[in-house]
Amino acid sequence: MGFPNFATALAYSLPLGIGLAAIGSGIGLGLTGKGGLEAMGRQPEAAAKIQTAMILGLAFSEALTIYAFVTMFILSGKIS
Amino acid sequence: MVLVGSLRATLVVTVVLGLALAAFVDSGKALAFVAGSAWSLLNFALWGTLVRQLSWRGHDGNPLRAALLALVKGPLLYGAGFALLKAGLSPAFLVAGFALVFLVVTLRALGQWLIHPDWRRGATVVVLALVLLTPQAALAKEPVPPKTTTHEAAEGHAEDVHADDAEHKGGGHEKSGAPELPNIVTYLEAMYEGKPMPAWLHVVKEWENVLFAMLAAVILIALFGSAAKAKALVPGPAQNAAEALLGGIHDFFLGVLGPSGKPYVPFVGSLMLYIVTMNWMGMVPFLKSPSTSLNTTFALAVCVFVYVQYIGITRNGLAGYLYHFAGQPKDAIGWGSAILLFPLEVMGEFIKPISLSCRLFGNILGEDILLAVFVGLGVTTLSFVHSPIGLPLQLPFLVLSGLFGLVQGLVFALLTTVYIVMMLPHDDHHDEAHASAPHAAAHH
Repeated sequence: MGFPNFATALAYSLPLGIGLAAIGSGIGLGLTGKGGLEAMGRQPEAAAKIQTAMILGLAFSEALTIYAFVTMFILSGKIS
Repeated sequence: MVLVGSLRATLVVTVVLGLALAAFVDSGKALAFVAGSAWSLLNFALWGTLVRQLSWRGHDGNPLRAALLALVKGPLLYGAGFALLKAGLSPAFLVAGFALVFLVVTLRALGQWLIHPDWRRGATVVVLALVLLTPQAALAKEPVPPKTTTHEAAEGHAEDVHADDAEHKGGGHEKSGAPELPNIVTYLEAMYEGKPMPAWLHVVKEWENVLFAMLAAVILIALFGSAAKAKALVPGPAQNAAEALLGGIHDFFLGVLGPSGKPYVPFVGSLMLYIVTMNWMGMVPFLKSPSTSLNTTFALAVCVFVYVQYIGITRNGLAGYLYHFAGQPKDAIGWGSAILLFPLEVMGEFIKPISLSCRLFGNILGEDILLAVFVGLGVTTLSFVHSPIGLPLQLPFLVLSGLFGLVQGLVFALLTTVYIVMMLPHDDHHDEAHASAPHAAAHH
């Protein structure tokens, strides 16, 4: 096989893809956590409600990295 | 009438499983299964009638009729049974059909144990749905990653059986496979390395995730069943812990669902407990998280999907259900945009289970791989002195994965709750406020 082939491209791009996805959802997670904690600090009596919404938001932003992760698993079998 | 309910449930299960078998395996085996189950059902019905006729409590007991029944229907039934056995149908499926009704009765009896009358129905539904749906998803034999990783991990594992629990997996020579901690099935497989594997081991390996998922259900039932047995006024430690846990879960989900969502709390709560148990099984030696397989998580997500649609139709009516999908238009502009919104909403509804299952699967798989990688690292660190055990480098990550397993179970159940809330009629709160105000006034 020549050098610029599909497997090599995958081997380089899969970790990179996960890293990029992690950057994005990391920023999202940070913002969600920041907002949630600030809101809880301002209104401690509403902490339970805020926490529920915050966990939901965290789950949604975290899911994006997980999709990249799953994609990596689906495609990693093709690097032989 | 536990018996009649069980027979009805078995009938439903038979039809569903028979159809699935006919679709996925072949029609002869489906026929054998259905015939076996039908015979078993008739057998149960006959004995049930006999017992009722001869029983001491009923005035309608009639010994003569019972004798007649036993003399006429008994030989007929057992003759039919022998004919079935001789008919050359697939014996394994015939026996499976026979056993089905016993399985259902046992499951229902187990369900009766559960702690709260409110919990019983939801737990039975969940357990039955899991028993039904998980094998179906596994039967579909999708080429999902976990199956191959298990296989490859087993291959890599075969070299160092005699080392301690920390084995190095997924070395550079292996093709792609992610490292995975060995479980009891991999050990069994390694015992037969080089020799031909017995047939039962093949079955166990094929159904590995299903077996571990069932184990999780059994653990939960045993735990809460034993906690529910002692209904003391002053609770002991086990009962206290169980009550605190259930109370906390109940209050939390009831807070999200609102007062009109009380019937759905048991479903969501059992879902959360079940998923958390499955997630934590990956941290116990010799066990494996069934949720590292997309089949398991997708089966759960399909349960949720069907249940949410069922709630939507029963609570809103079919017209209200479709109206909900159209974005609840009120004027001409709304109806115009409904044409655009409707396909989008329907598509979104189908994306929900996919995202739900992929999230749980990816998180738990990643966490288990993380553990396995650090176990491998610990083993390679000490491998130059030929130490039988490695450094316990995975300890900090065990804490982390315990937290992750809890949070992912919570997120799955919470998202289910949110989907249910979205399906409930929206103007419920106004109605309740209106209804409760005069009600309260009348009381005081």
